[in-house]
Formats: sequence, structure tokens, C-alpha cells
Amino acid sequence: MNIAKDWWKILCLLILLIVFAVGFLIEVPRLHIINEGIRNTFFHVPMWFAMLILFGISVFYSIKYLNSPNELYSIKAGEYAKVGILFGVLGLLTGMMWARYTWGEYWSGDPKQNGSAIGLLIYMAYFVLRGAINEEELMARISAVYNIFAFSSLIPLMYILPRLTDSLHPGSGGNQNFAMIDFDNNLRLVLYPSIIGFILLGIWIGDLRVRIEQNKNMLEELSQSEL
Amino acid sequence: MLNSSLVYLISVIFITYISFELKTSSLSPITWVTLFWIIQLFIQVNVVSNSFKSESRDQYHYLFHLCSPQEIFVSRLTLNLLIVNSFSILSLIIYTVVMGSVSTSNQYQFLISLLLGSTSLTCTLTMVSAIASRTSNNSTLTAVLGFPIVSPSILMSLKASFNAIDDLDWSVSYDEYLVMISLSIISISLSYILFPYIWKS
Repeated sequence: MNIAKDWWKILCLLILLIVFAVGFLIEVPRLHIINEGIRNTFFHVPMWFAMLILFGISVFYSIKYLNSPNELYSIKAGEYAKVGILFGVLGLLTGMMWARYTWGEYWSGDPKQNGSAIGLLIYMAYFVLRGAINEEELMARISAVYNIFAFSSLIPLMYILPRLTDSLHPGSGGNQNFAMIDFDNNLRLVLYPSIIGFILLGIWIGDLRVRIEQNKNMLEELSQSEL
Repeated sequence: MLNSSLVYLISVIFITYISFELKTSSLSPITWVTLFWIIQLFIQVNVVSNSFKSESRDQYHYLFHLCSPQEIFVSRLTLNLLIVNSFSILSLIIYTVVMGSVSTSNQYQFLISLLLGSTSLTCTLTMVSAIASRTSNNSTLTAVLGFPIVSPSILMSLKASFNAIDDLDWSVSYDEYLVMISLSIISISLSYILFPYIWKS
């Protein structure tokens, strides 16, 4: 391991270790209904930040691909979107657990819940599209266009529409924001590092997946040249 | 192509009518509107997915050399907007004839939300059908790629239509109209920039 290059991986591990330890041990404010469940803030909220950043990276590489076609950019766009979906699903699951104990149901028809489920569907359609075209270069170009299109409709779906309607989530539809009620400074001290930690973890997983995919392609080319 | 979509429109509405077995009078206004919009969604996907697959290979080459991709896109979009909007008015007429109408004093509000909704749906679906036309089975893929992406527009049109049949004031739906218009503008401008990458091959 090259410390000068890979310092952020060590940082990521350290942050996540501290977050998991402190997140479960720290004194939290006792709020009505939420009680100890408020600790889920440290794990549920960072998932969405990580997902958005990963989809952002994916779109960044899609735009880069359209500017200068290069197979690596296409692989990166695909793999980071995959990891983004993973974080989105984890965010939905942690959110559902939380919703069961605070709102009463796993699925309460909350606009943000629906919006993120549809958002994940959009990205699953992205992989359907990637699988539907056989020609490598055409697939990369068309899916890059769809990726940009998908990202632009994800933003209103998850961040604008829920604010227009009544939502059970804090901070939308006239509900109070966390910061407005009682966002203890101790919570912030764990939440912000946790966000950074999970984003770094996502980038790390994405980086590994890109390298696996690159090696697979190289092996394929080798076996074809031997034939 | 237009004829097949027309037959599709009439048969979808008629199947809905038959499925209710003449019990349409017991339909609540909410069911009436929701059903109407779901039918709209299917009709519009059908109409728009035809827009890019109709030309043969030679025709494509001819168009490719004749004009710029942007011109093609704008003309296809305009044509789609005209067809879809007239189809949505036509389907509203047929739908009210067979399914009965809901009582409301502001029909114009309902009409505006219908037209705005169809416009924002078409703007998004045109690009999606252009993307899907590059694959081998494009009509299935238009639905798979399109349904999740158009859901914000569908939700907004539904809300605006509900406001209309609830006899609410115009000002209540301004938010929805604004979202529908801005969604259309976003997808038109994005498609305008991105369409050349799909068109060249």
C-alpha cells in the first residue's frame, strides 16, 4: 500500500470505526417517539449523500465520455452507478426500519420514499439499457446520454417534489427541519464525519469494481488474441 | 403509423369501459381521473415510441446528410407535441362519452392540466424513444426506460387534475403548472444538447 496515494482509504477505515463506536455509545437527546432511534441518523442520512455523490461521479464520467470517447470512462460510469444503487438500496432499507418504529409502517407512502424508489428504478433501467446493446462503442455512447438524462430527472424526484407536498420527513412539507428542532451539536460531530466516511467507502468500492472490470476486459482480449 | 395509434387509443379506452361492465356511474372522481391518466400514459408511450422507428435505413442516411441533428430533433418534437396533444383531447372526448363525466365547474383548468401534462410527458418521452430506437427491441425499452422517468410529470398532472375536479382556485395549482413547465424546459434543453450523440452512428 502506497501511503502517499492511498491515505484516504486509511482515513475512511478510521472514520467508519470511530463512527460505529461513537454512534452507538454517545449520549443522545431523548426525543418523543424517536428515542434511541435517532442514532439511525448516523447511518441512514449518509447513505443518500454517498448515493448522490456516486451518481454524480458516474454522470461526470458520462459527460467526459461524450467529450472524448474512451472505454475507461464508460466502465467508470457504469460501476460507480452500480455502487450508487447499492447505497440507495441500503438507504431505503435503513429508512424502512426507521419508518416502522417511528411512523408505524415499513412503507408509509411518503413522497421521499416513493421518489427514491422511482429514482432507483430509473437507474436499474440504465443497466437494462446497457445490457440491451451489443455493440460496445454504441452502448457506451447511448448509455452515457441516458445517464445524464436520468440524473437530471432524479434531482427533481428526490429533492424538489417532496418539498412541494406533505412529507413525513423532517425539513419538507412544512415539517420542521432537524436543525430547527434540537439538533444537538454532538449529533453533528458524528453525522458529518459519517457522511465523509461513507462517501469515501463508496468511492473505494467503485474504484475496486472498475479495476476488476478492467482486468476482465484485458483477460477477454488476451484469450481472443490467443485464439 | 398514426392510424395504428388511433386504433390503439380507441381500443384501450373501450377495454377499460367494458371491464367496468356498465358500472361506470359508481366510479369515484379520483378513480376516474387516475384511470384517465394511466390510459394517457400508455397511449402517449405508444405514439411517441413510433416516432423514431418509422424510417428505413436509406431514409435515415438521406435525413442524416440533409439536415443537422438539432433540426431533426426539433421537428420530431414539434410533430409529437401536435399529435399527442390532439390525441389527448380526442381521448378525453371518447373517455367522457363512454365512462361518463365528473361534475366540475372549471373544465378549463382540467384541460390546461391535461395539455401541460401531455406536453411535459412528450418532451421527456421523445428523447427516451430516440435512445430506445438505437436498440434492437425499441418499443419495450421505451416503456421500461420511460415509465420511471416520466413519473414526476405524471404525479404533477394528477395533482393538477385533482385540484381541477375539486373546484379549487387556479392559484392552488400554480406550483404544479410551474413544475410541469420547468420539467419540459429541462428535458427539451438537455435533449437538444444530447441528441446529436444519439443521431450519429
